[in-house]
Amino acid sequence: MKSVPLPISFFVVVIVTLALIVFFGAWAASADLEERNRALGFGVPGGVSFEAKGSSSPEEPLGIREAFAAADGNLESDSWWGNSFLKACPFH
Amino acid sequence: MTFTGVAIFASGILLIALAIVPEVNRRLREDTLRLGAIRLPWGLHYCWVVVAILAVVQVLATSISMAAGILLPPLTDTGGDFGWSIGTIGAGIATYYLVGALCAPISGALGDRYGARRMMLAGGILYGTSMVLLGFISNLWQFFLVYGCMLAVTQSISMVPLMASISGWFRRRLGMGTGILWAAGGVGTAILAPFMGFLLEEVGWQATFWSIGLFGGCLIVILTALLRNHPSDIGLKPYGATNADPPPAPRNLDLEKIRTKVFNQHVRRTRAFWNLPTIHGLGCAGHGLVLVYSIPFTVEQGLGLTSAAVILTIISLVSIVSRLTTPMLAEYYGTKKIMATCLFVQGVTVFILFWAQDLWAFYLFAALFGLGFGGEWTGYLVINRQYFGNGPIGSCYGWQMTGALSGHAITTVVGGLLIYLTGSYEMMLALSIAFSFGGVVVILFLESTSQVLIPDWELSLPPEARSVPVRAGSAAD
Repeated sequence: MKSVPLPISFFVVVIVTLALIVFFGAWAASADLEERNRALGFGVPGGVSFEAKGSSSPEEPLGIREAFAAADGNLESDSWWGNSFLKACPFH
Repeated sequence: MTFTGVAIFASGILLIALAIVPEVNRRLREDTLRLGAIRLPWGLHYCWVVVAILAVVQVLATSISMAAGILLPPLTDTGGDFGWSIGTIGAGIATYYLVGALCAPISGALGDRYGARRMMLAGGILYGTSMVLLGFISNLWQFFLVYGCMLAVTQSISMVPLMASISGWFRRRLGMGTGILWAAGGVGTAILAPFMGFLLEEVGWQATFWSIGLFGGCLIVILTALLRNHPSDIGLKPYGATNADPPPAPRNLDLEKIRTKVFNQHVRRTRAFWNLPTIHGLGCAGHGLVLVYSIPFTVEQGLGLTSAAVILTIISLVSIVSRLTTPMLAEYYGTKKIMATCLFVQGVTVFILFWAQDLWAFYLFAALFGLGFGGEWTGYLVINRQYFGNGPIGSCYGWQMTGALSGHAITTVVGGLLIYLTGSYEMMLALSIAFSFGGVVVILFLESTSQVLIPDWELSLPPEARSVPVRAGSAAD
């Protein structure tokens, strides 16, 4: 019975790809919260854009808490994906 | 409400279809016996009929993923019936790719076990039902259910076991058979894309999907009557087989199950089993980014929407040339070399977009990129033959499609994130190049195609399930 070869290139590609997704996702989440005051909601339920709700103005940027409050205070549902990325990424 | 009613009606039709499966099976067996007496004119081998049938199925199946781009304007039109955001639709498309990726190996394994013909019947019924339901959608969850799930399953049934079945029809010249299959599919897709757009504009959303669903679903079901799983079903040898070639393996459901299980156990112990989906994923990620974002990118560069659309048309048309020639060249010169060349061309041509300003530069990019793109993914059936011989490759090919669809899903998400974060397309283009070149690097880790990697897998079978092991002759890399 032949031994199973270790698919190194497969695992390297999978790990690098996952790392890229987490890094860019966390970058997007932190940019939403700290700089742009808008949410990249992916359009999924709960991922509502602040801009779409008309509650944020680029001229008068809100703080993180104010921005979430402006989104009907729906902090958890608005940022579940962002929180996940931020927790998973060591750089953000 | 209408959607629910139609869904219940469609479920009823599916249940009736399931109830008459034994009768359908009996008819299929009788058809097979009757067709055994038929010989095509001019000595034409029946494999070419199978190629033609699969080309039609491929065009219809490709219309599902192609529909994504065409659906964007009506779905995002705020004055229309939907008015959903691009992010919402993007999430639906990503769901479609992910569900397809999960289903691909399962449908491949089902095809190995039950044959391409039954899978095609199931695919035809599912295609018609899903497309008609797509005409009825009005809510977001319906879009995710019909497009993201049902059509993903349909495409995985249509593209994995059916396309893999072509391998059994060719003992030699598989490259020519698959080349013609992919090229014919490309021509059909190039015609169907503008036709779908025309229908949407002229007759509206519902009539477009009802007509395509009913016509396409019925056509697939009718063509099922002409498809056969194996040449031996109609008393033929595979195309190019000689008397020196081994006889076909014994076939019944129990033996097919044992053969598939043992074959897949052996395949999983090769590096190629892991590397081929990886390469397919990287290749699809590389061209997926460009195909998805090329239109907004060129529009941002100051070109009109029509010119941008012409770029996609050029890519599609040029890719027909490489779809046709790549499998043939792969068979003669070695698939590793050809795949690496195509992936390199796909990656290196994206550099043109960094300094392209004039229309001619974009058209030059489209022509060169189309060559690489069309050849990058069309050699997999050939390399499967070179690595794994004449075994049941449906499940193995399904894993490769999992890689491909995962690559598309990743590009949908990561590409959008990069453009959102940087506000430009440069990082996205750089990532596309990195994916393509990454694929070239992984190809270097592939085994040589000069000999079958698992020549003795049938020795693990009980004697009654064996055929004579085949050592496929092929070009070495």
